[in-house]
Amino acid sequence: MKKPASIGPIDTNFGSVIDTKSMNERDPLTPGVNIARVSPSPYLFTRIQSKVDSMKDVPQQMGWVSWASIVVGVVLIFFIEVNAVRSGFSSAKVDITKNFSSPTEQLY
Amino acid sequence: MLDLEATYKQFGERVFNIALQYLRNVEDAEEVTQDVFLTVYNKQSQFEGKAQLGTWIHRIAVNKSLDFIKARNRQKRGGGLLSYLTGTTENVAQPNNELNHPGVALEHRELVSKWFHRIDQLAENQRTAIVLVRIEEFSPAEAAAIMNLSVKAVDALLQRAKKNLIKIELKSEGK
Repeated sequence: MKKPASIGPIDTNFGSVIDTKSMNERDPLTPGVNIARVSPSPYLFTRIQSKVDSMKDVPQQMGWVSWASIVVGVVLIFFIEVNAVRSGFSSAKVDITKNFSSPTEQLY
Repeated sequence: MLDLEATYKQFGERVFNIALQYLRNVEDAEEVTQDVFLTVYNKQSQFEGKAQLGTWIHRIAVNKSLDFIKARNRQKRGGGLLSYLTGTTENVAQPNNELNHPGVALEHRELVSKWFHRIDQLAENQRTAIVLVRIEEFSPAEAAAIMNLSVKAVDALLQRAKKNLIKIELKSEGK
């Protein structure tokens, strides 16, 4: 009587993909298994939008701050300049009289 | 003026997936996606319309992903130096080398992780060609437009990448 063929060991890894091909057989440019497409978090756009909104607010605030600082700066520079010009003129006067008086004194 | 929501709806998922193929971490990929769309919003006036909007956005996604990896590597080197100098391992930012890719089935994680490890050893442009053409399934013409190269150049990059990957594989097997 002929013996029945052996069924062999049961494959417990049934259903899983086993990569038995060597590098030369399979395409090395792909991992050999599927990499599925993934959706980002549904809140990701909300986060992006809030960032964009906060960026929109910043230039307005910065605009107000920069205008105020420019005005304060201009006023400050004006007063400093006026002060400097006044004191500069007075000191120049003194120098001029000094310089003119001494040579003439020497001539006489 | 760019409609950010419509643009995100059209390209958001693709941008996220491009970043995910480079970074293999959901949080990092989301950070890069956010950065991409903020750049798109801020630099919309610089978009000249010579390329398609999608090509421009995908190019930004590739560049931002590569920048993120470079920053992470710098952090790793800096952190290593800091821990060496101070003799501590606390407060040192550790790079995320674990595969946190929801697109890869659990039973394939090890296999894909090894493949990504090999891909990481390739030159930047070869890696980009693989990500765009082989994983993200852009046509060679689309990938060429994103990479600002000719189709021939992209094909050549893929061929070189293939040769290099075989070499890397043989080297790792000790042959």
